[in-house]
Amino acid sequence: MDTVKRDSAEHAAAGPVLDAVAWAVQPGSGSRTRPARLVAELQALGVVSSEPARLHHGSAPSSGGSMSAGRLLPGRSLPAELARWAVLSPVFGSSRRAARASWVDVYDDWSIAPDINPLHRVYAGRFYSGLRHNAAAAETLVTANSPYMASKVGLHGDGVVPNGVDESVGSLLRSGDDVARLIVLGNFFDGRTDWELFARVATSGAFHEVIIGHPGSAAPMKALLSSLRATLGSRLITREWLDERELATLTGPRTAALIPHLVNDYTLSQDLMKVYQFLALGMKIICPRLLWPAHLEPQYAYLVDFGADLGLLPDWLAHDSIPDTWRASFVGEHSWKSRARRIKSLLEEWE
Amino acid sequence: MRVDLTMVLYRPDMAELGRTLDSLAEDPDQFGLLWLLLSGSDDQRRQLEELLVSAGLAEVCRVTHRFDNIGFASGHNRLLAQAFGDGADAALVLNPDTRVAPDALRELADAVEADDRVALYGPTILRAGTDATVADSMGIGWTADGRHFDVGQGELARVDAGLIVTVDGVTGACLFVPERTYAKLLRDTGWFFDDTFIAYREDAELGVRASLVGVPSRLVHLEGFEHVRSVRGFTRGATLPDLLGVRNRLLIRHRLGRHRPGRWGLDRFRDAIVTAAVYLQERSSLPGLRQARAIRRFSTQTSSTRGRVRVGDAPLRVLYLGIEDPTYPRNARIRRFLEEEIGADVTIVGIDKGPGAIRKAAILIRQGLRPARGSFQVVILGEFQVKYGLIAKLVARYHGARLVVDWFVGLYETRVEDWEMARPGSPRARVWRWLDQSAARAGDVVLTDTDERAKMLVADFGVSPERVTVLPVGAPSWARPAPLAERHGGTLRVLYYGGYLPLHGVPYILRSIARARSVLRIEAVFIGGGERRAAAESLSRELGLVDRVQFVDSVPEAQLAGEIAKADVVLGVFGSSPKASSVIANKVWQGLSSGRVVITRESKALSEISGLVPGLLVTVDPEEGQALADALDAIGEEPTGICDPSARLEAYVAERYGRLAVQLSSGESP
Repeated sequence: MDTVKRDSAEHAAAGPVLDAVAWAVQPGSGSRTRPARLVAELQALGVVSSEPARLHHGSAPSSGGSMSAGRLLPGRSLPAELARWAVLSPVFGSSRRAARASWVDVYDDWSIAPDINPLHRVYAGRFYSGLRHNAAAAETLVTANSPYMASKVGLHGDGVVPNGVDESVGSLLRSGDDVARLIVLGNFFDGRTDWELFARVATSGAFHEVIIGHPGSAAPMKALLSSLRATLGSRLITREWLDERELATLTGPRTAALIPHLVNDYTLSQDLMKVYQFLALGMKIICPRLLWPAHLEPQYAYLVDFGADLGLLPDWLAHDSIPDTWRASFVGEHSWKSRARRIKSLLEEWE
Repeated sequence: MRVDLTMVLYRPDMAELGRTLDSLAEDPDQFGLLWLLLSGSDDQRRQLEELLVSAGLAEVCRVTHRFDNIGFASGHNRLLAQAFGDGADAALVLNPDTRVAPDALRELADAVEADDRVALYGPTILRAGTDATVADSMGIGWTADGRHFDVGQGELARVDAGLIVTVDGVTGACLFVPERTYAKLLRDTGWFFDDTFIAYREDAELGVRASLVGVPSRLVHLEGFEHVRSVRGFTRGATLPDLLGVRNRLLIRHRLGRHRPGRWGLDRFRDAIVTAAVYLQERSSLPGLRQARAIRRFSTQTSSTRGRVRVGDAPLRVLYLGIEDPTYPRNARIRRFLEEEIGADVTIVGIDKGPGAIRKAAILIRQGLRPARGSFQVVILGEFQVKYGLIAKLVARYHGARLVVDWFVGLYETRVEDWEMARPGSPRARVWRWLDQSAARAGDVVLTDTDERAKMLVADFGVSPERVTVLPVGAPSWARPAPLAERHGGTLRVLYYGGYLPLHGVPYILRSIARARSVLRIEAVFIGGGERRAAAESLSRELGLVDRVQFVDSVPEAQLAGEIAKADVVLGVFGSSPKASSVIANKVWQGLSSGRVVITRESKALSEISGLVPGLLVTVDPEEGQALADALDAIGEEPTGICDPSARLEAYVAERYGRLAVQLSSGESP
């Protein structure tokens, strides 16, 4: 065997690097979050063991192999020795030990997230501060989802690993008609949702049909729905949930998705997962300019900022639909699998 | 030189654009390709193409069409990337209402080539459509309250053909960018224009950011460039420009931090005035104000300039706090390096060696805060001053400077472990320990002198390894080998010099001399003074060494070379504390560099240099009572030859200092 193969064989023979995970994923919940997707792909690569010990914080009790660390002091449940652990939630920052895991991943600024409880925001802030001042052991690999988060924890160089998309999304058959259609997917809540932008785009006159998935029951959303119904009538459709297969059936040449986020520190700390999802589906996107992932070419985006002219939306919709070949290439480059491979190579360098 | 043009068109005035394209068409050979980004409708695209055909520029034009508006900054960033990716040697960022006369661009390019710098360039720009020669922009300037303006706008233009001067910035209406400058700004700051800005003020921000990485903005005096300019100077009344102006003023503050031009206080006052005016009078700008605040963390955290130390033409200004003795090798060497290698301007705040920590703290505070805010870019806390770590932090903050803490010697290891002034765990010991840790954690850069001590700082105090820089003590220039004197009467001459610190293990040295059974007569000279010298002399008498050990008072450093030259062996340190096992003492460096055999206690730190001094470094375990005596015996039996490791040792030290230079020059905060 040549040197490269021998090294790979040695790595394989050495077994998984990580066999325990501390995160926010509640047992039995869906597996669509960044930590869940990354761990699943890392398991497929043999980096995380097939049955890792799991520790979750939150209200859900221990079950299905996942132990509950509770809500008040989740960091206390971490063991003293954290080699071979992955800490994927900053809430474990209630304990300084959390920064000494083999792999720490940070995504979205939980210390200012409007949907995170105040105590956990404090823990997250301490965690980030600790990482920044390097309470992390020299053996800890730290990755982040965005340049903001990388700066927040003092990362330099290669530590940014953006979000991704499941490969299967790229091969879903689009079967939507040629209607000018706007799709907006929840969650919607104050502090993240730009209700004004939402209303402006939906009532711009550019769309014959507006479909809102998972609108939720927040009061501002109810008010918005009421207002939109008055303007759009039957052209407004709400659905409790739209999975990717259903979205594909709605995606046509003049279908666009709107990401109606406010531009603030919290949303800037995110790497919009929906962007990857919609582009993989072959759907063009209307998005606040500053929130567009900087490493992605905005060729199929309509970026909105101060002075934006929504009057050109019909022209834009009529132009340049996304070819399947582009979708396939995009998914290949930005899949969760490719992200996991990146983390694997970073872990190998770290060793 | 192939100079491409880049132009961003947003709701363009087609008539004005047509005039600009016609002016370019008068001398199309002076540029390569014209890269256009149009934000507009299909109809506007058609109109643009007609104008290009009409001007005869269609073949040399590359159009990117978008329906949304990505802004001036993002737009030109994309176009510049395309132009340089296509092989342009330079690019001229051009507004659609800026005219370029025949041959003017060629002259500008020639002037840039002759100037031959990594810089941003811009020509003197006159106002279009005036009979007299009225200036539109002679570079960007800044007011004391943090507003930028086009120098000379509206005044009679004084164009001194051939003159090139450095200015604070160049207007984005006509900005000449050599490829090497573009590449450097991308590499050193992450981007060309900061596209958080959308439009307005990004050229002013660029000028400041560029200067921080040693890229000046240069104004080239020549004629041939005219600007129509729809938004002029400090006038208000256009909703979107006003909103973006407010937003971007705050963005500049968040992005540049202490580097924002202006006098501190006045600029903040102006910020307050602008904010109040928005709330009271110009509520149409409120969304801009709100967004600037909403993205403040993002703007500051992802800034590529806030933590920077300015490099380039201006010398680095350093404040060195707490120097007790400017001739002490540690600070002397660091200062010499800063002044001679980096060209820094070093100001010392000295303190005496007498008692009175509070009195000396007051000196440091008073003298550190007396100069105007921002007077220094780097504050260094000198050796032996860790107790003033938080004061140094205060002074550094005041100046917006990076703090370098020379964590050379800790309080706890000296006072508790060496001098036993308090019991471990006692309240005083805990305070000293806390001061040690605070100083270590306060520094943006933490210096120490060996890799072992660096590991200790990381492991014991939680300092980030990236912040720690090892600067070995090294040897002064006088420490060079001199020929060994012939031995008289079979005498081995042994030299100790120092302050009789517990670290040195003087009692152990004396007992070892007494125990040695060398074939040679061992004669020792002890140079120096200190609290424990009297005890050492008493022990020497007790051991019957009076005729073999000579005690001499301290000598000037210049004389030390002579004393070392007379010795066969130089003694290092033999204390038993953790500190003793982690340092490489001054005298060890000096003795080795002088080509002498040095005997010192075992230490992991010595592995850094042992390979550089074959045959000269002898280590012993001071826990073994006979070890030093045996070592002296062994040396006595072997002739010692001359050896000159000084160059190797110096190269080792220089390489380590080089890392400090990189850290200070890159100006990156950890």
